[in-house]
Amino acid sequence: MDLFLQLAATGLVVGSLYVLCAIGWGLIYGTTLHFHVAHGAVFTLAAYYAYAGQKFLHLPLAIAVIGAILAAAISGMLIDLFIYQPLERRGAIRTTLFIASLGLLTLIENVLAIIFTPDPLRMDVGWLADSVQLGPIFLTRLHLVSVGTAIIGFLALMAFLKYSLWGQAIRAVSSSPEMARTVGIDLRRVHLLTYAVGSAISAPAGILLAMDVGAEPYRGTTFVLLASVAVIMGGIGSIPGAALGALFLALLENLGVWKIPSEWQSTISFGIFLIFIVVRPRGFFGRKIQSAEI
Amino acid sequence: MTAYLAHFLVMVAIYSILALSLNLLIGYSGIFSLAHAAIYGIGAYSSALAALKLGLGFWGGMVVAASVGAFASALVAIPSLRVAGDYYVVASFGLQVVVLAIFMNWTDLTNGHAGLPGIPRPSLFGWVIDEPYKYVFLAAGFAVATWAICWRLTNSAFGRVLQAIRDDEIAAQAMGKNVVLVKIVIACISSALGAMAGSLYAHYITYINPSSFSLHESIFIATLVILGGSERLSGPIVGAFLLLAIPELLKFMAIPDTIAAPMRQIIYGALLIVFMLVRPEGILGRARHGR
Repeated sequence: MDLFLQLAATGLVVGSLYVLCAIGWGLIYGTTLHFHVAHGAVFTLAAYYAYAGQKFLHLPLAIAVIGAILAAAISGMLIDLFIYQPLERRGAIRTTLFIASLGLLTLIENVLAIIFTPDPLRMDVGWLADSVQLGPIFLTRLHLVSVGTAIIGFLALMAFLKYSLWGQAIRAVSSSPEMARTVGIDLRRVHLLTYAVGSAISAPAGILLAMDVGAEPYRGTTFVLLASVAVIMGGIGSIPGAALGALFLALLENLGVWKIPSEWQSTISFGIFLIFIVVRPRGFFGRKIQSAEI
Repeated sequence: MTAYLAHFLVMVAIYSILALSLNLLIGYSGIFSLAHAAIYGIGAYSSALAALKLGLGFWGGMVVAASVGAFASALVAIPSLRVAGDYYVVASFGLQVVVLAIFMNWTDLTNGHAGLPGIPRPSLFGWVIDEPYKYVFLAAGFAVATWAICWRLTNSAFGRVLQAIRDDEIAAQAMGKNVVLVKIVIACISSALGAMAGSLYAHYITYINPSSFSLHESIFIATLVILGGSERLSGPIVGAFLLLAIPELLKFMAIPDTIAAPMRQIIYGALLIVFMLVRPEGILGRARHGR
């Protein structure tokens, strides 16, 4: 039983990173319909921004983290501005956009691997690394921060989308781009805003991972594809769905370790994905993507 | 020098088969797969295992490889192609991850990271194909056969249905075509051909391990197709030739190994972006109008 609780707690901690990554990716996918795999590169960049801020600029941890989140948001906007928008202006099909995104992911990951070596680089987190005991469960303070960040990030994003004018514009574009354009919403600016918000919300996941196990150049790919699984499972266009999907995946992967050797973790997630799209292709609560609207 | 050139040509032939078969999906059906290296690996492993454990030899192994490859692909294609294209990207990535996990972790069968050594060379009517230059003919023969199969497929009524689905799925459906079935069939054919390339590779190198069949390899094969030009049959072959030449050229420059590997990936990634921005139809492609 203690093992079960420990695994559930670990699942929750990993899940909080998945949640941040998935809601950011899901916001971008639901709004722009870009299959933005380069989000994985933004996630990884955020980790290295924070690392570089702390090690090379000698910034205090909190400042380095905030700077890295801002830099990640700007990176996301630049990708949209200089890659996706020119492609869309030319009327490129969605596959073209996806391929460019894949190229960018490969490019950025490997540039990082050359600059920082492929080995994990750990950040100094000071007292956050201390362990805490909650009944039979052992975690570090950093793990609690991860869970807290995910909860705050999720609630902040929901509030932003619901109450702010910009958030409402994003929702309008997400539900119907044509309608949004007719009422005078500038799609390009809303896309840019979506990239900024989506990147900023996922950046803490990369940074928290760098604080916990180290920044690594090739982590982002797995994360972004798990995020896409979570988004499809939760229902495209639904932020709570994406969060729920991510949490579900993380818990299942970690509780699965109870009975199944850990090297099969990824097999569990994708096996579930395949079952899921047969049984319920529109996810927990969302709309189904149809190739016709692509 | 001849051996070096022969080796290069064998690899070009093997990658041409991979690119041609993947092009059936990317270019002719508009389905993007991230699992072609996994399919390639399934071909290599099942052919090697059939030869080592069942004593089936090269030709029997190739039949096993093609069947297992098509089966694995059907397993993913049947659930995901019923819905939309984006699902297939994710599902194919899933297949890639799961297959690689099997290669690495099912040690009783695949011998894990250590890989499978001692795969027999193929023989034809008692003539053992053991030198690289002899293998050039075998591999090139298979590449030509693959090209012929793809040519026949894409120029048939079936091929026109495929292209109709790629260009306008709803219209194809309205014409009474079974869109889902056509897509699943082409995914299986593409995988059977890709798995045969794996079989050729396993019996050529005689040793395989999981590292040759990673996600990077999948992206690389897709790059061959896209840069060569996905709407011409010869495009993928041109892509294979040019992109396999790049690492050979890098070898002549004094770049340390730790830099050379990511350097190669950077070049591929940059080429993908530049081509998408400047010439999305690839080197040999025709510009596509509409949408």
